[in-house]
Amino acid sequence: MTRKDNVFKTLVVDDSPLMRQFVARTLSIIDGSVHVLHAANGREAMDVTQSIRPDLIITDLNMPESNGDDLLDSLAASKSLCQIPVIVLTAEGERCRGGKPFRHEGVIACLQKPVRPEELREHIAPLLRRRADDHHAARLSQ
Amino acid sequence: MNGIAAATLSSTLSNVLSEMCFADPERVPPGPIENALCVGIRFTGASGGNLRLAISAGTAKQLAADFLGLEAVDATEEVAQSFSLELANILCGSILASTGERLHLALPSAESIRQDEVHPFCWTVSGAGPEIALGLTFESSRG
Repeated sequence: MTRKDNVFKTLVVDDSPLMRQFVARTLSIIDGSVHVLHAANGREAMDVTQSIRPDLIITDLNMPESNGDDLLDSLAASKSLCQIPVIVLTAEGERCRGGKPFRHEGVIACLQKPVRPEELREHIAPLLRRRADDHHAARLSQ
Repeated sequence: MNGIAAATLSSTLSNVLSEMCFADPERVPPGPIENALCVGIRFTGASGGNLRLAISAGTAKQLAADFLGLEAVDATEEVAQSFSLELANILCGSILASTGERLHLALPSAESIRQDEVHPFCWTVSGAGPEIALGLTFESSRG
């Protein structure tokens, strides 16, 4: 396993380039080794996910053309992609309080905008640790 | 039509800008906003209505720079426009969250604005006169 295999790939999905930039910057502060990919809607996100298979997806819900719920439905329907953890970022607080349930069991958190960096850190840190542990275990077994 | 009270708008604006940009808006008398960007968002559900945000382009640039950790000179007009759209989105979601109703937000859209329009509810972040105006109205009478 190479050093490149340990890169934690995060796909940030939001129609707002400003929000994508904010989340990318926050991720780089949390861990400088996180590699950030971008998509502006659900359809673009599925294209990226199918070709690159990110370790985490952070997605808005309300987007033009293909929204966050469309993305979650597509992920849930894919045997190879349904295990990818998803964090939802949305201005609609009611969704975070269970107003309309997510149809994808991979959603690990729903955070209402504006999101604090420590809220993202709380949910991402365990994933980064697990990835590091898996990488270490794989290297030991070689 | 009825609207959200100024106190609710004030506290929400203060919380959101503090969280996003470490800014502390202060209520100021009604007035026009110089070189304003205007954004509207419709919402639907148990109640329908719309939010309207006007923000001076210079203030939007500064707040966007603070939000992204940039120098103000690095915030372009495009960044200011993107910030105003997202700010309206977040404000609308936060204000409506306090109603406890299941409401759906449409995508924010830029709106035209008369530069001499006097806005009833205004705030400043730099202390230099009205820089942000905010209003949220429901289409049907409530409560």
